Amino acid sequence: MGASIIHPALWRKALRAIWCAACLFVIAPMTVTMTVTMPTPAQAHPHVFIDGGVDLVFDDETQLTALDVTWLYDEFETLYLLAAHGLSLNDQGGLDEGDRRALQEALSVWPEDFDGSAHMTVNGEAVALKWPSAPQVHLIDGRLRSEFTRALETPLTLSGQDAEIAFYESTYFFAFKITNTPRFLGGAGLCAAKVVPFTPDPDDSPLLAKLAQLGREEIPQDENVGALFADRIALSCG
Amino acid sequence: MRMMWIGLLGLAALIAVALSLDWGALAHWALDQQRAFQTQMAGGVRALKAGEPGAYLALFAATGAYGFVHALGPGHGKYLVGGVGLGSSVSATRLVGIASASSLVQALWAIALVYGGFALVSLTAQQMTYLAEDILAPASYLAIAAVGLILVWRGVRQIRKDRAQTHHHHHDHHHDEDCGCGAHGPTAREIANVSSLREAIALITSVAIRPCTGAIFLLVIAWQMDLHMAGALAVIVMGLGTAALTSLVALSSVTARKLALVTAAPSGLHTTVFSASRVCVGVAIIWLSLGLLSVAL
Repeated sequence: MGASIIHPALWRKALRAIWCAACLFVIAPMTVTMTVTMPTPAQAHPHVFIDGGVDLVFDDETQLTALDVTWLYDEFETLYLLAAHGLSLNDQGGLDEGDRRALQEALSVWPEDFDGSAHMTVNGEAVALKWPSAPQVHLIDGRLRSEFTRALETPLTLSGQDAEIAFYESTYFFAFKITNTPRFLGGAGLCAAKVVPFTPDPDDSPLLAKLAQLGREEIPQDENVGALFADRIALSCG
Repeated sequence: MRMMWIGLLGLAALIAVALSLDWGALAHWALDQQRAFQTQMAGGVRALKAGEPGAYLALFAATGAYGFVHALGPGHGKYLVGGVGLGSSVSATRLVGIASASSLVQALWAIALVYGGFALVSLTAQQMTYLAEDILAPASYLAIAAVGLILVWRGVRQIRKDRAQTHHHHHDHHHDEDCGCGAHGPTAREIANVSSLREAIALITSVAIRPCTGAIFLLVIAWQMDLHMAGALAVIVMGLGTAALTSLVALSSVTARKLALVTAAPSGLHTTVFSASRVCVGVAIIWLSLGLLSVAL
């Protein structure tokens, strides 16, 4: 090494300078940023991931009367939900009919602040929906499928209107994803539905990181934060 | 001198790797993997329930992998282990031992808590989750913050001692060079760190108090589905997966400390670097754990 031709004292000074610079400009800022930006996935919002979708129910006069909502829990959450309700799988890995009914009953009791996961707007105005009805719970291929209907307070004619259904839960405790193609039930007339999946925006990452810090019992500051990350169904009727 | 160059290169490489990693993306990747392994765990549980051959293996593979990627997120004392590796003169072997022990004790504690809670005091699944997340998690963060405080305190004490010593030997120019060549310098002068059983137990406990939520969920499922033994074994395998990751952190933090000391030694700054890094690391640990605490409360 060519180090020997340099005076040791000079070396020491140079190294001191390198070290001080490294501490000041590299190590300290790095520690701070890493410390501050670390998300905590262990207890992050969202906590439960649900696939599913919304089907549209029309009457004979091509008026929209109800939304049929489907939730598909993931396989692990399904088992936890069963266990938390004191239920067990049978020896075929399925659910006995009595247990299924018990679970259906338990899951039909909605919390008071439940917002129903389907949020419909027509020309930007929120459409009033009735409380969930006709709940159905089944275990299919290891996943719990929960279905319920949300009737419209007043049936709507959609032709020429700009209608949209967003699939989310406002506090983002549940993350919903539209995986089912929307179906038209009844006399839909000339309607078409297009799923518009949520596309992550780099601008959202600070918010996502902040949400990731929230525990199970906490509610985000923005009470409608779930809407920001929602998959949507765009409806157009001729 | 060659050692120093190698050390400097190694340290630069470590810093480059740390800087080039997208930590947010890594955390999200880990989260996706966790979900995938949770699904596999569920498949394992169903296979067990249906008495399929190879079900145990499928469950253990899923829980081991889950433990590993789950530990990638903060928590599990990963930053505590890393901090102690950087900020104390603990040996790599001992720190790997402590990291592994804390993961395993954490798994055993989860088993004792859930099975004990169900069998002895008939807690509900919700109460169990509440206990883990709202009582034990904050307790663990507080304990970890206390360890950070100890690191800061020892670092500050060392810096003051060094100052007093430098002052004392002001006229003895050879003193520093004589005892400051090589990485063994500070370790020899340090009061033994994490060498006592008591300190090791304190570290292990601070991490292990808080059982992992994934383990709790799996144990709740296993208890309810009458798969007690399989659930307990699966959670121990999960702990082994966590231990593997925290051991990697232990090894890399001790390596980083040694590289830093080797490169700083010729400048005579190594004791200062060591003490300062200890204070920094201690502050980071306190900051992180109190941050997590404020989130948990």
